[in-house]
Amino acid sequence: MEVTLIINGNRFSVSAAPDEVLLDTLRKLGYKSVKRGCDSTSCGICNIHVDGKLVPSCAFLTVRADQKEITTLEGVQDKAKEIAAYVTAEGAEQCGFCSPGNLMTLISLFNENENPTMEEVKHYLAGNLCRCSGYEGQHRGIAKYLEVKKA
Amino acid sequence: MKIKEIINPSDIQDAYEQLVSRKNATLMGGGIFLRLQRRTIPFVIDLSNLGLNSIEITSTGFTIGAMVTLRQIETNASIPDGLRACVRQIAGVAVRNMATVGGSVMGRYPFSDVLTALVSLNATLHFHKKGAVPIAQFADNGLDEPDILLNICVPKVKNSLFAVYKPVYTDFSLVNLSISKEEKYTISMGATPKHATSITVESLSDSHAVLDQFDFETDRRASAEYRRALAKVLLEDAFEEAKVWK
Ligand SMILES: Cc1cc2nc3c(=O)[nH]c(=O)nc-3n(C[C@H](O)[C@H](O)[C@H](O)COP(=O)(O)OP(=O)(O)OC[C@H]3O[C@@H](n4cnc5c(N)ncnc54)[C@H](O)[C@@H]3O)c2cc1C
Ligand code: FES
Ligand code: FES
Repeated sequence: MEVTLIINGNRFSVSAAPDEVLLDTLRKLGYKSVKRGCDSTSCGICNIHVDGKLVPSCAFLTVRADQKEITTLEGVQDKAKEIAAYVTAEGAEQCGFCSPGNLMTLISLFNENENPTMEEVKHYLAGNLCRCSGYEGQHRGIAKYLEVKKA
Repeated sequence: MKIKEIINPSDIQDAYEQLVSRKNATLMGGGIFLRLQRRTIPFVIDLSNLGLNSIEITSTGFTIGAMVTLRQIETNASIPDGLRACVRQIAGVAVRNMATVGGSVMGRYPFSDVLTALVSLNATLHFHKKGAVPIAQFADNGLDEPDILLNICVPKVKNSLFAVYKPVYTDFSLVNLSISKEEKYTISMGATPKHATSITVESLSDSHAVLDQFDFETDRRASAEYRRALAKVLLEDAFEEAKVWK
């Protein structure tokens, strides 16, 4: 089926099978920040934004994204670098595989709520798994980022 | 999951005719659970283009479209507390942005948090062909023919709450319960590990007597004794919380 996707502001016409998911379409088009973790909507690593909403790209059918605005990490580099600097400064990341999904989730949160409490941050990040860190360092980094933003 | 063919009708009668005339036709809500199935689905009817994705406030309560996402419920402040609270720990925000209330009901998942809340709220399901079906009847028996869930009517209640035990945040529930108050109190208990059943009481005085009205069973996730012990504490806390209800 022929579909038009608007990825980070650029239009693409692609031909997609009925069961193709955005994760595969995006990677084929070179958006390699989008990663496959669990492939069963349980880890948050493949998270992207479709029409401004955070979704798991491993479950979003490409045919359902026709004419929709898709945002991947490649499209929000400046914001992502700003947040990531605080997380890496805490030595929170080891393999970094969870990082694109975490950042897309955090950016979605900050778009909806500029000044969340740490409780709200943890609730929003609850679907994002990290097998290396134990989360404490990530949370410290985010708390510092929010403090600096507020100041 | 493999899909051979998918259509996206914009007319409900058209969608229904496809459903009953095509062998093995499958409806798609959020598509999240369909995606997890290890089978080939020959023909999918995508319900996203039928205008079933809004929440309307009526004089008697709420009409929630079958395609309303769990996240829409979570973020709508006018939805009763018991229903809003039940979606909060269902997977992450990303999944809740896709998973629909219709898919959550129609799956009749025994672990369901959504069914438990809707049973206590005495919700009514509205189907394209069958018309109105009380949620408790659907939870017990399912449907006897293919049909499309259009929306769910949730009557206004004075108060409601939802309580659950999940081993970790966003895990499946080991037991869940919901209480709503209008004239009387309707108490539902689910994930026992069977889907929710409910009782109605005049007052919230004796939580132990209420506990005795529900059956608990053992499965690979928890023993009947453990579930009963959890339910006892959840009920006691819920009764305490409801003391301030007017
Ligand atoms: C990681 C994860 C964790 C979860 N944890 C929980 C949890 O803790 N508690 C909980 O309650 N739920 C949980 N769920 C389930 C989730 O809440 C949804 O119920 C599930 O995703 C199905 O919703 P869907 O919209 O994706 O349905 P789909 O996958 O689209 O459909 C599910 C079924 O319903 C049918 N259907 C869908 N819409 C209609 C309609 N309008 N009319 C008739 N039939 C229809 C479909 O044909 C299919 O058989 C979890 C899901 C995931 C992926
Ligand atoms: S790969 Fe999509 S949620 Fe894990
Ligand atoms: S740093 Fe390795 S998964 Fe998070």
